Amino acid sequence: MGNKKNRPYSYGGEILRINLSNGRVSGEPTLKYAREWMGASGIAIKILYDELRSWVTPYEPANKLIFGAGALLGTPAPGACKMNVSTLGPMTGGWATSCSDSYFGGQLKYAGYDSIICEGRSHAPVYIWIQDDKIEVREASHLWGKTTWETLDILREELKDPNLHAVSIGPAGENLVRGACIIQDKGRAFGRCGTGAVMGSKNLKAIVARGSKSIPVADPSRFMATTLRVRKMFEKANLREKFHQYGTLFVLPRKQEVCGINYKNFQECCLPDEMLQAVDPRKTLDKYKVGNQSAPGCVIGCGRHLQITEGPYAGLKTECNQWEAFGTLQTRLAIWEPTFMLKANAYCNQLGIDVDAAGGAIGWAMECYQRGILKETDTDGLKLNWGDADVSLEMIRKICYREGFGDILAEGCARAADLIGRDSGYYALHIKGQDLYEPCRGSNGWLLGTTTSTRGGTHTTGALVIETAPNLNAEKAKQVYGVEGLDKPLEYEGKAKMVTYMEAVSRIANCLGICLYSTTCLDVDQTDLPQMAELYSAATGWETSVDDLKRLAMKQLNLEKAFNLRFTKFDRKDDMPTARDLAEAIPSGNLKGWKIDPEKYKEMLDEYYDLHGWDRQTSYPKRKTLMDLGLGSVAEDLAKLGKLR
Amino acid sequence: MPSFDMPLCGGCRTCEMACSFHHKEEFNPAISSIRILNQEGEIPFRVWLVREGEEQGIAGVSCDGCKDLEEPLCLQFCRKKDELKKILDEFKNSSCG
Repeated sequence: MGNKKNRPYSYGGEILRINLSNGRVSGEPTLKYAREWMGASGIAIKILYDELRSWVTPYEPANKLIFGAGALLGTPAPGACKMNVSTLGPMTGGWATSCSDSYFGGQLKYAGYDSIICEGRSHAPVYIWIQDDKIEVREASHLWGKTTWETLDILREELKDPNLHAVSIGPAGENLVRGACIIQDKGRAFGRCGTGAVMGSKNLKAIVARGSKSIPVADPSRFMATTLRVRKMFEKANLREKFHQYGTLFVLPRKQEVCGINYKNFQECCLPDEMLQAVDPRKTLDKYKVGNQSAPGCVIGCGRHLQITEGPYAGLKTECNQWEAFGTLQTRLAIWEPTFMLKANAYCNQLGIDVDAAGGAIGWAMECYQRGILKETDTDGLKLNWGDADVSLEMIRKICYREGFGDILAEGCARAADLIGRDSGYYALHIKGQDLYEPCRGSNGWLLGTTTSTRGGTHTTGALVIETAPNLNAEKAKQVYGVEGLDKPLEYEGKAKMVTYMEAVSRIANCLGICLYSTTCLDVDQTDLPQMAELYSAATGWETSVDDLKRLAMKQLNLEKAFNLRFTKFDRKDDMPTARDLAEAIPSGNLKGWKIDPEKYKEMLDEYYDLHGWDRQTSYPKRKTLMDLGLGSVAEDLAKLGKLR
Repeated sequence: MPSFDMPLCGGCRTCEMACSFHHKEEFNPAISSIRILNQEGEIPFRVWLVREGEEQGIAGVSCDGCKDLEEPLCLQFCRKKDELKKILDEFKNSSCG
């Protein structure tokens, strides 16, 4: 099959635009955006910035929801398994973006598409069915109200293909729960930011795709040789086997050591010893694992299938959760039943709510109940005691159906605290309105990346994930990050530079569809910017250097920043740690007594702004920064808003 | 039956991409000689190998054992290659009758 003139190598070729208000389907060539914005989240921020006027709000038809497959998804480039979804999001009111490994995304590419822009709002529930050139918007009233698992099963039955892949929302998205997410198949989530609520606001239940076309690459032998060489690199990665065996749950002992565990809504930073033994997730996985689960083309394979055979959730068959679900639900809510993390994660996936949105709101509520700020008259008679698994699951259900007190918690902990008042805001830990999962004390590079993220509190866009990794290869880390200190989480020096590097890695990984956890984000011996440049060059025939990638990443980051400046009032004050993290020392454990030094944090933040060419006082971009990145018109836009320096 | 349980398979389907590349120098699982199928029950995945033409709704290029390569391309990309190799050998022997 020859390559069409305007279809770039490695890409599906076309960006679909589906207007749900009038059913119109149109397309434009991906080439219009690919060279300048690369793919996935890069293309999405460009389109959203250009097309969403300043008066648009997240739930109205004028908002757009953009699914974008990574530029290398559908090829065996190591870790190239991801798709992105981006929109104007309800959690922060600004830039909302999320990735997930996605067999659906691969099928989209094989069908000939790179992105789908969902516009408008359907009058009645619909789903979209894509088969190569055939695109149908179909009735979905029989799916509305169903969980994501039921939805996938029904669609596989209806469309007569047991291997179909889909993205869908559950009742949480349908009910516009602010932290609702989109689920890929059954076990993978486009988490954070509330993209599921935007999908629900459009009455869009699911999208299913199947493609039979092929993806050619520009230089096949160079591409395959590079792929095999990069795959071989992973044999040296010292965390790979543990990661394969337990997913990110392998970090438990280290997180306990470095006080990086959220216990009782960040009141403590590590677990009581007896609890640690009781809930150790590695034991749970060893006991109940029945099979492996990998992402497309992945050289690590960090997932698994489990079947619980005893305890309160006996009979549950589910894919495994990662550390985040364990930290944000199991330990945050102080629950001792070790299989709770599996049940809660499965439940959140079925109902389509982000685990952090669930954990953040329930954790705030439980602490408020502990302190007498909330009473049973507020909580529909429920006793919100720490460690109560049944109450926790019931609260997840009430949130997803916006029932009673759940209707308040469905707004996320920041807004729930505003609604309740009673000085409860201190216990609502969020950054820019997004509930935090991230324990932020004792790890300064992780802290800085979390507070400054353009999508709200989050650790996947710049935070130094491996700052507290065991057996860190400090020599190699210095080569990768260009500065020392990755193995010194309590220091402030050099963190701004390292976070800036990780911002580039995460954005390029998003555009290419490479899983962040297969990069130097998790392990310094994994895929880094040079390998990404090589893979992309060989795949597309467009010679791309590491400097090109860094420049592109900063261009995207500045556009995300400008997007936030248009839609929100975020400035320097929103790049700060939470009040609790600033006020309270780590209360127990190895780092007992350690506290964030506010002056040193401010210096670290100043350095971060300097590196980005942003104003220290406000965080607004400087004109020269935008001009140098080819974003002159963006500078004019910000000047009109009074937000250019 | 060209279908084999593979208990260690994680369903990454890199073998499908590798195989289609072997046939056409492009990535297209729809023509691959090896397919990873979901299944109910304790083992999540099974391996389907295309013998000839279309069988049970699965079409693809027939598996030629990568005769021109030192090692079949699917094996080169499989993380559980010992298990996959046994399956390929069994398939080859059953095809020979």
